[in-house]
Amino acid sequence: MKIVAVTACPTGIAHTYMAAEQLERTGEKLGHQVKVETQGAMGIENALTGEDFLEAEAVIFAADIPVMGRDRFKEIPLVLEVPVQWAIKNPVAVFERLQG
Amino acid sequence: MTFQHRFAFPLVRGLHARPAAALRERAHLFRADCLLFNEKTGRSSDLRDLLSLIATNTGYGDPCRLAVQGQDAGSALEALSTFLEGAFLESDEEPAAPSSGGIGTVIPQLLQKASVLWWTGQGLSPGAGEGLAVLASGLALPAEEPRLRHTPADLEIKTFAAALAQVEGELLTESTHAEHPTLRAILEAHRGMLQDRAWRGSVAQGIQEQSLTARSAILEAGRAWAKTLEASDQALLRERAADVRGLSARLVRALGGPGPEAPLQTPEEPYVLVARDLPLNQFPRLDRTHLKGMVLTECGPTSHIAILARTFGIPLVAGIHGLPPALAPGARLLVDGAQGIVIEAATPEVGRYFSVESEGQKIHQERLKRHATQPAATRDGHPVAILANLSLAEEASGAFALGAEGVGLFRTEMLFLERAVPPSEDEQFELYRAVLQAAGDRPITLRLLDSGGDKPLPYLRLPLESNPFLGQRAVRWYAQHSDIIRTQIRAALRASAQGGHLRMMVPMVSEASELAWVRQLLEEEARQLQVPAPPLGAMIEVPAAALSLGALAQHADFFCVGSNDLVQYLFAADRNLPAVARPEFAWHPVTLRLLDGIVRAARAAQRPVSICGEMAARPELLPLLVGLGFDALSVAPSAILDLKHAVGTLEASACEDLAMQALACARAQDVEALFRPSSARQPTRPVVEAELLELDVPCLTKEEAIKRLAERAFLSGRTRAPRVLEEAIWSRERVFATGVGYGFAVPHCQTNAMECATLAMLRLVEPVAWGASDEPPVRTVLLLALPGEDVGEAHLRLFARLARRLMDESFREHLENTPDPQTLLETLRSEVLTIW
Repeated sequence: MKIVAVTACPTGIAHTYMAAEQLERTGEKLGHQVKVETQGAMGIENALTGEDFLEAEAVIFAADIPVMGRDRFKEIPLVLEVPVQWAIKNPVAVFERLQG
Repeated sequence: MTFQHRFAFPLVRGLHARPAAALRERAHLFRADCLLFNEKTGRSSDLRDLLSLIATNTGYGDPCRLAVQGQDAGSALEALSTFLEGAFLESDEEPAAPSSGGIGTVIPQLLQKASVLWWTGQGLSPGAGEGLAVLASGLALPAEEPRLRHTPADLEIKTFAAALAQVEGELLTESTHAEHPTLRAILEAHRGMLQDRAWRGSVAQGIQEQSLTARSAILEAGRAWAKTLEASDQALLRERAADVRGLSARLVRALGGPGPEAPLQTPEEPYVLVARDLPLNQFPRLDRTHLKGMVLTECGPTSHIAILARTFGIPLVAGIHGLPPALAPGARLLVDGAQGIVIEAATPEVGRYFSVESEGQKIHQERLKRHATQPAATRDGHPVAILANLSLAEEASGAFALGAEGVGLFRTEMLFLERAVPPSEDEQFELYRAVLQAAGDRPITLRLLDSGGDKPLPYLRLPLESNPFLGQRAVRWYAQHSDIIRTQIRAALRASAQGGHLRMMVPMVSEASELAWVRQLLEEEARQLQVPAPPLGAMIEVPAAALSLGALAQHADFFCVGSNDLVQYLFAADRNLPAVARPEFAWHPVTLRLLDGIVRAARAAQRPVSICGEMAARPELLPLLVGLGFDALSVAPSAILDLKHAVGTLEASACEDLAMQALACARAQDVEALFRPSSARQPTRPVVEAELLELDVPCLTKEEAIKRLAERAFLSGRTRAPRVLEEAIWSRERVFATGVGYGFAVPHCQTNAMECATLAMLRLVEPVAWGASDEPPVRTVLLLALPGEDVGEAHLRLFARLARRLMDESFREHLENTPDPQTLLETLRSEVLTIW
């Protein structure tokens, strides 16, 4: 599956990046194509592009604060929102949940 | 006609002081006599007598009867019974511990959750100590004081009434100014006790029928009432006994003469002294080997007892009014003098938490000691002598070991206190010689006797003054008792003839003629003894003197600013009264302009000028004082190490610029903004060093682990406020705990308390719980701390990379297993820091 994701946490120093790392690693292992945009203390990094949005079949929001540019995702059929901690502690479960 | 109402007493904690006060207040609305009968204890009381009400020893469910008689009895009974069933039930609420203390108090997280009792007050001498609480509240008059009166009963009754009026007035003022509602309620309850007619009656009876003096009648009544209360089976009533004792002592003091506190019995084990105040002369007599802390109700930051506490490194907290009555016998207290927190019955976890901090302080001191022998100078070579303030000869050698370059203020009052005649010339000679000898070639600045209405000496026979700080202090009585001052000068001259480097200075000078008088006396005595007259200086503590240095310089060889008094007189704010003596007066632009004028005038007259007083000991004010141009700072011995180190980190020219900016400020807070910069002060330090990696440490709690990390950051010089850092970490933890699974946690924060971006790591022997109970415990803790502003993107990038690497199992294994900090540092460098 082609999946996009956004990670964000209150201070944007640590959890944002740990969650991004987990989603990328685990997604790859499970055979997905995952691209994660981080919204942290350094601002938006690895920003999702128009092409990403067109191709994405699902989006994961692993965020404890409101995601910036939420409108960008409105065309994506499958949406999953989880606390940032879930992505860090049990990323496999996050993907399982996505697939129902 | 008598109206009656029967009821079972509804409050679980019995009829203690607050509900009793509430009942009393209601009863005062009516004219009828209102009586409470407790049919279980068989005691009764008028509702208007607070102490008697408490003494009915009424507990939960006791069968009680309210009997109301008189003019408006019907409506009174109706109102009172409605009250008993309604609003009365709310008068039993748990007294809340004051939750926020003085400015800058940071309550450790552990106390916010642990079920221990704690109070906050004003921390006046840093450090933490724990021991058995010793209450200085035993009641006994001096043995030689007659118990029986030779005066007519009427006169003693009048005296008693006057004392009552005075203490009632004081309590009213105190409760009006009390900020915390619990404290206000306690003070009001005390006032109510004083108004108790039954108790007043027993004092009057003692005077009339047993021919007691008012002083002994008060004490006997106090003892009897305290005993009744102590016999109660209600804990809250037993605790009121201490209130009754305290109030009796206060009344006796109000009658004049020596206070009724019995000589202190101190235990042969660590103890914490709890008292209303501690007379200065009692301090030297305390057993200091076991004294681990002091809790004094009435003490300000510049009180002499606070000065002595700092000198001897005894933690001191002041201003906790609710504490002494609340203490149970045998209670143990932990005193945190840095933050002003007093904890009762600290758990082992709390104890360990504070010992982490004490150990940190100890290591910090040991490190500073390495530079103790060097004279203090700024980085660009501008010397600023750091001298000691001493009160006792025994302090001298310790002060020099800490690096004092001399004694800038040797207070001589201790020798003169508590005696019927002044010390002899020989006795003084011995003391001065001992200090001069301990000092070697370092200068000793002896302050001539600074006593008067505020530190009364019986042989001076000064009239009682309503305003002793503005009265006949020091040089103002010298001419009247020239024999005393002449003896002191002779003793000092003789001592200096035996060696050493003596200087003398005159306290409380306000005009040149006073100084000229002392100068003449000094020269006469020097001629007679055929010794050279030592340098003579003037203390600048009266604004009039501060504005006339040119004239004073004709008679003075040096000047020493006494900042505590100067600020007190400048702002007309009693330095012992926290309500008016605000700490920021010390750096108020008005104070700084006066200091600037003093330094300039001293320079123009080519006289050196030093400063002693509490502001000289504050490291954050040091750049200002160096910038203003003081030649020397004289401080409590405990502050010397920090200050000497701090001088070495300064650049004299930058200090001058800072002082110029401060002088141009309008408000104290503008000055504060200058010396408390909010951005990173050490932007180029490496993020991690081996000393920040603490491996295989035993730790009981998450609180202790975070504390250790904060202490590490402090010891490596990355923060000066470890408690603030700690609190910043906790405020992030409260959003959600930073455990990330796999036995790892990544606490992090951004705070002005940090001076540079920092990565610290703690690996525990046994894991500790980090978040909710179902979350796995944590053994490896990585702290990421950033300064408040000017955070370079490089640091953020580095932390982001570290966070990502932590998701890699092999990297985690490295962190969990690498045996020593140096190897671990290499791992971190190669794995994480390479991109930086």
